[in-house]
Amino acid sequence: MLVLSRKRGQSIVINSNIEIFVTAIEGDQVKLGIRAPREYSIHRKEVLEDVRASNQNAISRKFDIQELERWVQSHNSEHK
Amino acid sequence: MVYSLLKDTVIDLAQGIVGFEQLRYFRAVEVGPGSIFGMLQSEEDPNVGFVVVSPFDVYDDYEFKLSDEIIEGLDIKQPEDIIVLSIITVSPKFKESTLNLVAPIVINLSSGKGRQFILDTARIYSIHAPLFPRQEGGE
Repeated sequence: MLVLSRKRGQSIVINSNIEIFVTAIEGDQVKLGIRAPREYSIHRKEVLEDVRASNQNAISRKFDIQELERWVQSHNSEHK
Repeated sequence: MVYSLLKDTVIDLAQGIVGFEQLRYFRAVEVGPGSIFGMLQSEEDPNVGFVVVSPFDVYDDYEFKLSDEIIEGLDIKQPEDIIVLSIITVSPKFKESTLNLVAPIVINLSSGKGRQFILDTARIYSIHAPLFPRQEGGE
């Protein structure tokens, strides 16, 4: 991993089409500005990790579906 | 129901599901006749399937804005072509199941392309929103 030090206002350029600016430093928190082609998705890492974990937990097996169908059928008359 | 619209479609999610980027083609079928629940099943790995529901069937005030990037990426030409499905985490106590409102799966019916779209984190939605937000009386 490449580690660079930047001061407020300085930036880093990746691949000539991505630029990351340090826009503010407030105590523990660094504010970053990111300029990148719009087809690039940019996310806070922990959000991505949370979605990944949620997806992995959500994998359903065939028997889950049967349970689900049974539950839905038994509750069909009560719902909405 | 959305599943009748998707019935004969192979959905191209092209690296679209976070954590399952190696899987590309999926089908969506309803769990039972007329059910709001569906199964998003991988064509490539039979072990990968997700129970899904249209989030608007659960939270009718749910809304989000599509980025230019996803509109272009999925070739979206008109809003009527868009189908949204949320992945459900099924709980052994089914009523405690949750759905992911932060990362809906957006599908363009017209192009067959789709992707899991992560919403702006400034939003107030939850990755684990209750599938049954109101307690029905007497249960």
